[in-house]
Formats: sequence, structure tokens, C-alpha cells
Amino acid sequence: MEYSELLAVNRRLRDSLPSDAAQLAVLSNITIDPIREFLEYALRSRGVNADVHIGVFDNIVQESARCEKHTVVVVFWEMMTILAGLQSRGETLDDLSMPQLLAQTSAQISLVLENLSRTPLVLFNLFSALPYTYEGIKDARLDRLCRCLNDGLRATARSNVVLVDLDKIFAQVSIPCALDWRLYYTAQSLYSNAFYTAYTAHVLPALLPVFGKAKKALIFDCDNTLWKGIVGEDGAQGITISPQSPQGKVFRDVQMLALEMAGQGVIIGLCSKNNPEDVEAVLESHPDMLLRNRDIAIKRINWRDKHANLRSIAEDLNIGLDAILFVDDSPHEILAIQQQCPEIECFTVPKNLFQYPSALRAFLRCFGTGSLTREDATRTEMYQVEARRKAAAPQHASMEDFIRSLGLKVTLYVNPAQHVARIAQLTQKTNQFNLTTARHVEEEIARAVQSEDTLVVAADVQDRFGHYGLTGVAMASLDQPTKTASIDVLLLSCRVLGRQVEASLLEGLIRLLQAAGIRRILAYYRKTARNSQVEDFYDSFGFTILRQEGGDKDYVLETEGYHSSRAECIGVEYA
Amino acid sequence: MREEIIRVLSQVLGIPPASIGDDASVETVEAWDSLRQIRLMMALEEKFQVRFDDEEVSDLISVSAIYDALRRHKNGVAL
Repeated sequence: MEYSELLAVNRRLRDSLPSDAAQLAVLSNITIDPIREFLEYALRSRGVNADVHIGVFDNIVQESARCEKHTVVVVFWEMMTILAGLQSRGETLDDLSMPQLLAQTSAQISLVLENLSRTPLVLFNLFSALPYTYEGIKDARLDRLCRCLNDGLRATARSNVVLVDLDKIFAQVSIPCALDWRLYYTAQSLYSNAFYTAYTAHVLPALLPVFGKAKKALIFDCDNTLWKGIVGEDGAQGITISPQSPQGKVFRDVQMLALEMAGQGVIIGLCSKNNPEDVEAVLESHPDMLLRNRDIAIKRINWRDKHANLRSIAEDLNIGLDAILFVDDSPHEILAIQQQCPEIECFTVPKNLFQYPSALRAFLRCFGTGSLTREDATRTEMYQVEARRKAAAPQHASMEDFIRSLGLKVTLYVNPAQHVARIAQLTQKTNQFNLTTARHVEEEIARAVQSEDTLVVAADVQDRFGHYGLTGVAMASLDQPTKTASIDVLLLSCRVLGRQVEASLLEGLIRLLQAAGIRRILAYYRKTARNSQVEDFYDSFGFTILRQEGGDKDYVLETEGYHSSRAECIGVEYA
Repeated sequence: MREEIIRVLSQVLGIPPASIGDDASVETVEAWDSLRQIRLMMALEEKFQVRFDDEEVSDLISVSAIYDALRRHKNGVAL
């Protein structure tokens, strides 16, 4: 898309997106204004209503104290203006000035990080002198200065900070293309559009989870996507994935990438137009396959339209279409899917096959950052266990019978410091069974777990088939003087829907609040495009509506005399 | 070409093309400020596939000045 068009489309998107915009701030000691539309468009085009505010020029420290309302703060702290014209004075500065500069700047950095300690996400660029030193063979003083500043940054940055390596951007774009000296000397604006484009794409995987838009599933076509050849024509032994063949090596690298993604909690699936037996033959018995059935959580191998299959996959996994990345070698198939399901992000295998693994790797960055949790490592297995559960379901006369036969056990963890990462992840990824859709990062959960005024409850579920893992979260803030609490977060990740686990979570929370002396509980339903199934959740537990407006509902419950109404089929333990 | 310039200005400034006359300049259009100017230069260079010389950068402050600069780059070929 042309730049001028991006500016116009960005404006139009703002008007078409509902609800309040999330606030992002960019703080810098140079003119960084043009980055605004790149960041806004990247988010708005993915359905996230976001406004980017540019901080007052060269006032990073002061501006950092004014970011309470911002969800994300980006810091562009350019080395060159720490001292006027530093890029040209590195070697001539006297021996005293460098350490002084280092000490001064480090102190300011600490202050900024302290001011931003409550911001959900801080993107802080590492200091780089590369634009001024990359052509010289010796190790320049400016490089050493930046290394010291960066060491300090790494040591003092808390968990809400993601450090961005600008040298990676320079490596992608090239330094001559990244900088615009005309704009620098006339307007203190250092970077080019090519730089802003690459920077935005680079940080997007860190941004998307904060807004609940993390990608969750990686679905592959098979023929000429996971192996060379067409299994229906060449036979299971006729396809190539051999490490002896150049093309075979390419597809092996792609399969290894898929395995790496699976290890990070991404769901791997197949969607291919083939006879199921043909693909099974390869998955089960081809000696060179790296991906096997144990790595694949879901398959649609049939002759139906791929877009219908992908919709069915999304439904089965209980995720949005926008959480899927689909890889296929056929431009026709990709085009059809883009027309039918534009929310699905697609990747076409390049015609120049040797580019495939590196191009795919770049594309897979969108699966996000953040700590790995136990659930991530075992996600594929959990989906497979779920499939077995579903297969067992039709044998039972009623839902209650089925639930009883599962032998469900719910363990409620209260203020669990050991589950902070998974709790944060659930608040970011859960969209359907989510009453308020309040997103939190690890730093915020860690604080809530320590605080006397918040109660964090995490529900761990298992049954006779296996472990679901941590799948429910409730968070309440308490006001002891008025003996009132309000439920700020209540969610359940979709795999345990329809099994009364939600009743155990809510009633467990109420019991805990009662024990803490709370008499009155406030609760909220905030309507979104995805959570209409929980519209009447609180109503069904006897909460009274206080206020209703535009689909949103505020509730209250007096705890005195509240009796548990359901969940006799589920055993609950506290831990 | 003048229409193209006005269209780019309209997209950069976020105002309707009809409100930008052939005599429009930073003096006469309120939305046309220095920060918009940076974006304008980048948009013009991409649209017309030119690279403005260092001396020209500060001159692009009216539709006619932009037109003249673009014509120079395109060697007077009518666009």
C-alpha cells in the first residue's frame, strides 16, 4: 500500500472501529512523529482501536511521568542527541566526559523505567551507534558507550519492558535506507519510512498479545508445503523430504520450524485436499518425516473447500479466525481463502523454494513473545486429549451423567505466585468466556498476587482423561472499610466450557470473599463482539442488575445468605 | 500532475481535495504544518518516484513550488 493511502485508510479505520481507543505513547529525544500512523495502522487494521500520542520533543524523563493512562509506551532514546552532535564527537571527547555522560544517562534511564513501572508494556530501544560506526574497522568509543548503556538497561529493566534491538532493523533495511539526513538536519527527524515499516513489523508480535490478538494456530497444507511432491500422485514413497536432496532439506527445515512453534505452545494443524489414508501413510511411516501425528493437534484431510475446513478448525479449537496462520503453496487456494475468510493470515510458499524456510521464519514472528508456560509446552497433547473426550461424550444420556462420568476435579489456587505467567497469558488470549475482557501483563498479575487489596484465583481442571491445566481466572479488588469487593476479571479458556467448571470458579471466589469479611460483591459484564455467550452469566447465579447501558451490565450480590446452587458434580479443592 | 499533488496533500493533511486550491501553501492551509510537511515529502517522493535534493527540501511549501520541483525532476515531461 502506498504511504499516502496508508495515511488515508488509517484515518477511515479510526471512524469505523467501535469503543474507546487504547492509548499508546512514543517518547523520544528526536522527532519521531511519522511513526504514529505506522503503529496505528498496524493495530487498527487488526481490529484494535488504538491512538498513538507523541510525547513532547526531547522530554523523555518528564513525559515518562505522565503515562498513567497509556497501555504501551515506546521509547526512542537516540544516542546521538544525548550530547549535541555526539555522533561526530565520539573520538574527540576528553576522557572525563564519557563516564560522566554514561552516569548521567544511566540515572535518567532508571528514573524513566521507575516512572513507567506500572505501564503494561514498555518497548525500549537498545542504544545503537551503528549508523555512525558501521563502516569503520575499529571498535569505536561510541559503540562502547552504547554497550555500557545497554548492559545497564538489561540489568534494570523489569518484566514489563521489552528491549528492541535497532541493529536488527538496520540489518533488515540497511543503514543508508534507514536514515534520512535531509529530515534530520531540517526537522530532527532521523528515520525513513522504510525504517518505520520494518520497526513496526518487528515489534508487532510484542504488541498483539497485550490487545488479545495473539496468533494461536499454525495450519499447513501438505503437498509441496510440508514435502516435495503430491502424495496422491507420487505415492507415500515418491515424495521427497530426504536430507540428501536440496529440496528435501528445505522441507525438513520447514518441519523443524513447525516443531519449534509447537514447543512454544502454538497449535499445529493440517488442512489438505487429499485422501486421508494417503496423508496418514506419510505421517505414520515415511522415514524422513519430522512432523508426526503426536505433533499435530488437528487435521482436515478431505476434498472440501479449504475455507470451510479452516472455519471448522477454528470452531473446533474454539479460537477466532484471526488467530490462525495458514501456509499453502497454491496462490489460488490462498486467494479463495482471503476472499472467504479475510481474517485468516495466509502465507504462500515462495516460487523460489530455497527462500521458503527463511521467509516463513520471518512470518512466524507473529506468534508473539512472553514467558513460556507449562500449558504452552503441552498444548498439542491437551488438544488430542480433548478430542478423545469429545469422542466419549455421545455415549452418555445427559450432560450431568457425562460430567459425572468424567470425574472432574477443580483445584482453586489462591494468589499463586507460581502461576503469574499463565494467568497473564489467559487474560490476554481469552475472548469468548470473558466477562470484562480486561487484559493484564505479568507485572500486573505479580503485583495483584502480592497485594492485600486484590484476590487472584486460578482454576486448575483435570478429569479421568487427563489434565486440562490452568484454565480459569478470577480477580477481585477488595475495599475492606466498606466490605465491598468487585470482580474485575472472570474468565474461562474455552476448552472446559459446558462443564460447570465456571460455577466452581465463581462460587469458590464468593466463598473466599465471604471468608474475608466481604458483604457486597459488584460484578460487570462488558459486551464485546465475542463474549455474548456470558451475557446472562451473573444473572443465572442470582446477581442483581444495578445498571444496564448499551449491552453492558453492572451487578451486585449481597453475600449474606448466599447459597451455592450448582456444581455438586464437581469436586473442588483449594491450594 | 497538479491533481495528483493535491490528492497527495489531501491524504496527508486529512482534508478534502476540494478545499485545496492551486494556490494552496503552508500560509493558507491551516492543517499544513511542519510535522505534516515531513509526511508530505515522503509521500511525494514515493508517489512520483523522485528524490528531492537537499536544497529543495525546504522549498516544498506550496502546490506550485512542489509542481515546479517535480517538473525539474521529470525533465519537463508533461505528466
